Amino acid sequence: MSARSLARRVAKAPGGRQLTAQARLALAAKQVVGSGVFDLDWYQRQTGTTFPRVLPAVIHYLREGRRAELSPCPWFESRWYQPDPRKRRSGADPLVSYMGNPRHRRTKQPHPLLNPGWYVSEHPEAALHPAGVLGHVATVAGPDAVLDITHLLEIPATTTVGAVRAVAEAAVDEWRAHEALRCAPRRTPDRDRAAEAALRRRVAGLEAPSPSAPGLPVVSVVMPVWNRATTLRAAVESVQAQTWTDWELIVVDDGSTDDSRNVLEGLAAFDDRIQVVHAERSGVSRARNTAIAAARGRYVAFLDSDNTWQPDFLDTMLRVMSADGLGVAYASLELHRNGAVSYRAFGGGREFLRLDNHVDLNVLIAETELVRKAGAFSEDLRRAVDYDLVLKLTELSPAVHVPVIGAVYSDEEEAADRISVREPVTWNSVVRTRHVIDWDAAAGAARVPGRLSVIIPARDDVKRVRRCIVSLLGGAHDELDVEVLVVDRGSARASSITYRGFGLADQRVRTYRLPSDNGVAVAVAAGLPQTTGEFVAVVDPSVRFRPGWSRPLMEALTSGDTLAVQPLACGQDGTTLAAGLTFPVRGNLPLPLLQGHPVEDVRTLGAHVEVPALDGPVFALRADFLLELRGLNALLERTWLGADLSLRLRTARAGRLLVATESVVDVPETDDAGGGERDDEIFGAAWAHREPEGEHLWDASGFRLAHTQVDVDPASRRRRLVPVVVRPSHQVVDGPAAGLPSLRWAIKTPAPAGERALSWGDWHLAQSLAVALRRLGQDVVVDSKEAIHRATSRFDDVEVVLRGLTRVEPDEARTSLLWVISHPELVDGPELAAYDHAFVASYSWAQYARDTFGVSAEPLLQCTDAQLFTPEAGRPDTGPEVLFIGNSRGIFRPSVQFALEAGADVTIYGGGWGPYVDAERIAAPVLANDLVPEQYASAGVVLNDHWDDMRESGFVSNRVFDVLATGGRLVSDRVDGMTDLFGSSVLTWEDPHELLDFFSGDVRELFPPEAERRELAETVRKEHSFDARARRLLDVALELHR
Amino acid sequence: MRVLTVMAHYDGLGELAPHARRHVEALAPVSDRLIVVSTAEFRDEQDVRHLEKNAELIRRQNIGYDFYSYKVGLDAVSDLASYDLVVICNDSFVGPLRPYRRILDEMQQRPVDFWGMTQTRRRSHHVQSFFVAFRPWVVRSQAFTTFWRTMTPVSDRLQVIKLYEVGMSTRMLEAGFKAGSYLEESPADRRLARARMVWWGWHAAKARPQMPLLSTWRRLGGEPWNPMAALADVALEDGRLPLVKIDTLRYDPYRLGADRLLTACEQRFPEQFDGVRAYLERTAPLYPPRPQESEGPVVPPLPVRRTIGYAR
Repeated sequence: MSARSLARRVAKAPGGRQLTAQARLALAAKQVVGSGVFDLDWYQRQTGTTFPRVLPAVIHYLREGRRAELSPCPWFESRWYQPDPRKRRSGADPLVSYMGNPRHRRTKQPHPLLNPGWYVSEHPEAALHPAGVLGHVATVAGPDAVLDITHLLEIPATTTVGAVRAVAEAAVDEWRAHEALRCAPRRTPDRDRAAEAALRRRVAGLEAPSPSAPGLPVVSVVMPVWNRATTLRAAVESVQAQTWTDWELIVVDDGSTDDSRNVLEGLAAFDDRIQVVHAERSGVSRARNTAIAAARGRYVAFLDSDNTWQPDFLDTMLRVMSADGLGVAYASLELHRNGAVSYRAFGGGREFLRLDNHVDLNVLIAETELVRKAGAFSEDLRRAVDYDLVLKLTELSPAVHVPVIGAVYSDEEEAADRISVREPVTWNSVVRTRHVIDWDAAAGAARVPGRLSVIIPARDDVKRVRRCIVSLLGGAHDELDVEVLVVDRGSARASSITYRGFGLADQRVRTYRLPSDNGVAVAVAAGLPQTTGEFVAVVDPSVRFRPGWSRPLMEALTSGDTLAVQPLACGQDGTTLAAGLTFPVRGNLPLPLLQGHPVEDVRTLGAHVEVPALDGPVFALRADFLLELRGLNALLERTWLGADLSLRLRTARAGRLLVATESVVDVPETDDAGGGERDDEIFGAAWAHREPEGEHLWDASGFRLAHTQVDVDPASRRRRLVPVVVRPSHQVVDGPAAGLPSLRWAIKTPAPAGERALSWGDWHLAQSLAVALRRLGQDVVVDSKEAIHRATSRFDDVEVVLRGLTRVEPDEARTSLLWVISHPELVDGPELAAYDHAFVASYSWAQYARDTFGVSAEPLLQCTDAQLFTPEAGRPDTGPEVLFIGNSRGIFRPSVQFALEAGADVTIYGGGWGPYVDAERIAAPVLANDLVPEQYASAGVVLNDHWDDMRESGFVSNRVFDVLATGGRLVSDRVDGMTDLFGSSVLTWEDPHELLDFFSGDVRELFPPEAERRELAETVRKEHSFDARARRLLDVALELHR
Repeated sequence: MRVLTVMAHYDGLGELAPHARRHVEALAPVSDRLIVVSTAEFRDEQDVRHLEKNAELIRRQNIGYDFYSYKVGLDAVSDLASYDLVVICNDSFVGPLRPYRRILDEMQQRPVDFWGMTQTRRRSHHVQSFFVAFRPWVVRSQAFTTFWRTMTPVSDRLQVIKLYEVGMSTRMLEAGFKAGSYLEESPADRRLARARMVWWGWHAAKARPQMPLLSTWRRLGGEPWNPMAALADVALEDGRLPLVKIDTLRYDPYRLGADRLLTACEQRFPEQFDGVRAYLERTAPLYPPRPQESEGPVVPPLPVRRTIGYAR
């Protein structure tokens, strides 16, 4: 019988399941202990308990710790390490799974800061360690052992084992301290009855407090009332029922419209201690402040008109406060909900209060003078005023918990008029932002001129934050003085460690952890004093910065009277997601400017577009402006944070809000956490009745905003202002196409949206074609693959599909042109016929299409950008001897392979070459398009080859035209028709031996002299330029459009 | 203290009954303004003159029971809120057995917003509507004004009780006002009332043959009582309950010996009860038995009479 079938039999026997579980646990524990990777100190640091030996700690880890995602050793994070799905399903311990999988031991990352590939290459013996790379790092490598952490932020960086451990330990200590704050027993199923009994015994012997002056009451009870006629009596009677009778009750009727006033009149008629103040409706805070101003008592207590006190509340509290000299004290609260009883009887101090309020106003008593000194209630708050008061009071005097039940609170049914029901919970965050930092001190702190501090409020999304930082730092210009502050919104321990680890990879990146997540505004407020830059940018972690984002943004930010700046944010399909807001109609719903439009539409407005309000996942401004406004509006969870800030900025000072359209960020995915309808309501209420603003921006972009309509999302019921836009037709005013209609063109490319498009030749071709068409007065946009069917296609007159890997069904509503520039094997007759006109970048394939499919396709070869590729771009023979620019495409491309075999000194710009050539041959993985002409013009020889099917189908690549347009010498594989086009100016080969022959001597001598090459260059630039192709496309489109 | 009183009057025979006459005479001296709203078709102009001498008389059609008369009377006063006390009452009882001045002075000290002679938990907590007094802040309240403004005449007795007698108290209590009553039931009163309910419950259960006897008895016997019936003889304690309902004497609803009660009252308060017995006899044909309530005065068995019967 096999061990497995024995185990199955045992499991089926009575009690067997338990037995096998025990056995599994014992086996796993033995394996973990035996591996030596379990770090007792580390584990104890997380649990806060001490284990006598390793084994009990390991068992604790296997039974409980791993479920709580505790880490068995500083180099293993189960959240990071992903075991096989099968193992995950079986519930096996991730550490045991890791150690049991030979491949994972060598290749899988057990920890975000550990790169197993690099580690094994440096320490080959680690692959043989029984616990793999993890085991080697944990048990063999010393604290000074070097680790490469380039992978972390894609910036070359090393650190040491000891440094990583120190970071991890610091993160754990901080996490534990924060957890203690966060998980404090603010609400418990029971209370300390022994303490309560002891207190009662003590109170019996305490003297009664005296009033501040003879004839005055000892305590003033403050009660605001607004339309609470039905509950008011019970509240007042609970005061009248107090065993402590020397009180005054000041009830402020905050403009009730029900019978509260009459009920109060009746109550006051029979009790002289009750004083009623009638006031105009002005909010609960002002009502309470009115009562506090009138209070004559030494102490002030607060009771809401829908709550009641226990009879001995005042007596107990006042005796204790007087005896102990307390300025602020609070009793316990008994809560009833859904039949369950719980207590708020926690005695935590200010550090706990800053996180969350555990003091109920109804059981709080404070010295009247102290309350007045604290400024009483903040009248600009509509909720959480009690929380705010408690925080203000505790700045002056500690709040002491008196363990007696002061009130019994039932929230079985939350009345609709309760503030906690009516007003958003985010008021608590507003209070937190006021108290989370010392705003005055922060405003006075010195800041580094010119430095941009980027605040990224991050939750448990390490991968997203990492990508954000990588793109941010990687895409910034070298001179930019930038620092990144990840404000960790109380994420899981493993994530917090990773965030801290970023600092090891790049010192410009720092982390500031908050004990819990209270929204973006609180995170930004908490992070502000940690930053040092003159400028601050708030960045949503979902953002990816496109290369070159920083210079235009900083230029806009530092220009004149700029208040704040945002980059142009693109959505998943590469179209405009956020380019500022307009307020085209009276009301409160903002209208995002040109949302869903291709970015070209926004860019027609200029590099710096002044907008009524910013709206986006990134915005930047002077740090002192943000400090002056006391940060973001914490009432908003997410949606209109930038818009609200913009409008507050404009209210506070004169200046401009700019969208830097040349600075681009992508938002490839958005999480839907927070905001939404609630933010709409809050923003709408805060900025209601705005005058229309920004309509001219639509006109300036070539559109006209006919009107707007409100759409309601059927799922979320969220209302949204939607523009109804038209595009007026017009004619070309000047230039070579003067007098012709200016059509709107959409060039559809197979390139993906966002930064990835930059590595696609089709994308650059489309951009160059667009530029050429614009020179003809046309209105052109370029669409990524994702935006092929974008909603704003309705404005387009002509669509030009650059056929690559993606087949696109033409839009029958507009003139459709197909230009097959690659992958002809994917194109068939029906596809060609579906378009109004088809072009093919090959003479021979156009003939083939006619012969095979019976469909006419016009030859239209690829071309070059004559503005960019000129003989003047570089001096011949001053660059690389042999040059290749292009990605490997996953193969050892033959032109490079054979040139190297021939002994040529090849320099490569391109990605994916690592497996094929020595690293020193790779000059850079990417070369910016505008730097390519210089390389071509200055190289000794430029290599080129085609895909096999392209070559066979007669598709001459654009590189051929580009090189020849610079007067460069080109060595290329032979494509049908190429010799007809360029004669002997291109060295072509069909057989690799031919290529080897070329390089047997000085290959340059095989080319015509420079003057002849220049002559050819001029011909190519004239006949095979984008301008020439654009003109042909325009002629055809106009013909069809008519 | 300025007092406004609106008294509703009805008499099927078209006369001013002796107890009603005395009631008007008792109200007049304590009221700054007394309005009698009568739905009776008086046969004797003397009665009309007597009323007009003591009060402002408003005569109207007999619809909508006493509550609509209250409304008509209240509507006739333009400065309701200027009174320190607004009283509504009717002629359905014999009394007051104590001077109204004494009653009003005592109640002036009680911290209540509106009050009656009695209050009951029957159906729902309410002040019994044959006598209710409102303090000025209640009279000024939305609850009070809305209640009277929206009132329409209802001519079904049980509906009137539900919508207006119970409904009025419910509206006031829900608005946050506190109710009180002149009769403060002592624990002994409550024990006696409970025992009398058990006695009544047995007969009421038997009157419902379609229901299981014992459980119905238990349920009915445990119901809240009507103090005007269950504690009617408290009146004999020097008018601690300062009135006796005509209905209690006529119907003996809890089968406690209404005859004995009337006799005892006649002996204890001869002046107030003068002519009451004759009035009951004269009007008997107008008041048919109430099914499931009572057929009329009974003589309870001796043990009952001795233990819980009226005037025991």
